[in-house]
Amino acid sequence: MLEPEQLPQQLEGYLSGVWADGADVSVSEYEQITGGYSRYMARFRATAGDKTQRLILRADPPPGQSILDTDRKVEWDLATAVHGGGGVAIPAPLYFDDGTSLGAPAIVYEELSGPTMYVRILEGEVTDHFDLTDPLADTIADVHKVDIATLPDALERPTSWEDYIAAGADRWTSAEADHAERDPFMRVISAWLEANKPAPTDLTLVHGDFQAPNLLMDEASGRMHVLDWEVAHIGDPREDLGWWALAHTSQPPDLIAADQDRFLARYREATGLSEEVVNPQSVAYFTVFASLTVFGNVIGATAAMARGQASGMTVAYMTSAIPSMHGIYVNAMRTAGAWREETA
Amino acid sequence: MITAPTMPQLLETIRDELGDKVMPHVDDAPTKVAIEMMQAVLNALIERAENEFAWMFEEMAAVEAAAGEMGPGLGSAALDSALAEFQGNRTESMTLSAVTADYQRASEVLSRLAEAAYGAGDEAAIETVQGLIDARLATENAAIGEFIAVGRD
Repeated sequence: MLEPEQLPQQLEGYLSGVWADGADVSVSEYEQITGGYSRYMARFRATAGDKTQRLILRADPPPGQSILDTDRKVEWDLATAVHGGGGVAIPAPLYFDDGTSLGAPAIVYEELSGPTMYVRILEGEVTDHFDLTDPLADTIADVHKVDIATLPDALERPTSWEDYIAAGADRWTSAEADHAERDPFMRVISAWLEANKPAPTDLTLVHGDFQAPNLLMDEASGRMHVLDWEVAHIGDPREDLGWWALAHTSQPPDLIAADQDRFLARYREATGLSEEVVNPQSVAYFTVFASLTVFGNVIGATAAMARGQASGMTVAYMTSAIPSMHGIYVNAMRTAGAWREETA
Repeated sequence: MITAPTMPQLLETIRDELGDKVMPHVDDAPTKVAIEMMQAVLNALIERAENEFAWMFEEMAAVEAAAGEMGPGLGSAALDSALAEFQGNRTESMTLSAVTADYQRASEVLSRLAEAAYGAGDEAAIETVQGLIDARLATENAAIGEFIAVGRD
């Protein structure tokens, strides 16, 4: 089990073997990163003689402390493949430990300097940052253009778009059945998704948590580095566009919503997808569809707390996110043109 | 028993003390985030303590009425069964756990009504379901307020 207070010392021993050819390593400037709600993350400097490098640790937190249950080995394999492919800018994944040295499965990434896109767009008005709209569309288009044949076998390959969408709708019902209380929103969503399918498209790599805090601005190159691949999968590319809308409801501003027409036009140009496939209504559909991976984990964690199997302030706090997400789903279904009009 | 100060008043005191007396003395970033989370949860508990029973009873009545009105036209055995389960197990107890159990059964009735409505493509029933969901959402929003993710910068 991960013991955060032991990590600097454990990292010194681990990095001596994998990074410094057996030389003594000192870890300094160690600082936990508070931004994520799922993984234990820290930044630090490793030094061995004249060699020094700033690194990022992403590790599984102690049991019951996370809102997401994902596999570090799968993340490692995927991040390594995507980084090696070169089409998407991501920090280099350097080392993977299965828990033998660090107490829990963990990945060590290089640390890149620069603010996240979220920090950047908090400055001034959102309209001050429209210069980022096109690069943002290009960045997520790059993710969707990755050749899925190059991705690890551990990523499930759906048999068809129709089967994938039907299975996605069904998962809302099965996830609700596993919850600690009844949630009619989830059952309505399942029925609604099945009754209101958009135009089909080819399945692609989907990042799964595409949002401004997961984009690192490289001021020198102008590229956006995509962080946090733990829920990446093969699916419908519009999931990432839909998820962005959901994620930014609780952490404004939303750069895409500020000029959605421009973003979607650039994205269509970069991917070659038609307006029949990519439009505000289909994005709204996938705001609902895309969120079960994270929403299911949130309610899974809260259900574990209700059953006395989990604790921690993050899990308790995330119970407040559930109504917010319910509201986003209803608004999205309304935007998609398949929900009753609001009454005063 | 003691009813004053009320439960919401006591929770408000805890929330305010965390912000005014504890937070200024905390330098550790993860602990600051944890305190912000505690305050958000306390805000929700203040609203729930005041309103939770009333909200549950109001919604149970609305769902039961809708299922009674729409059910015969939909011909869904699953809906009929859920409604019978709800009506046959109503408690006279006013403990939170007993009322919550009733509310869970009413929620299942709403889910079954939705599945039957969409399955049949019954526009009037779908409109009714959406109205019930909108009302439930309004209640949840009243309890939670706006959710802003803390510690994300």
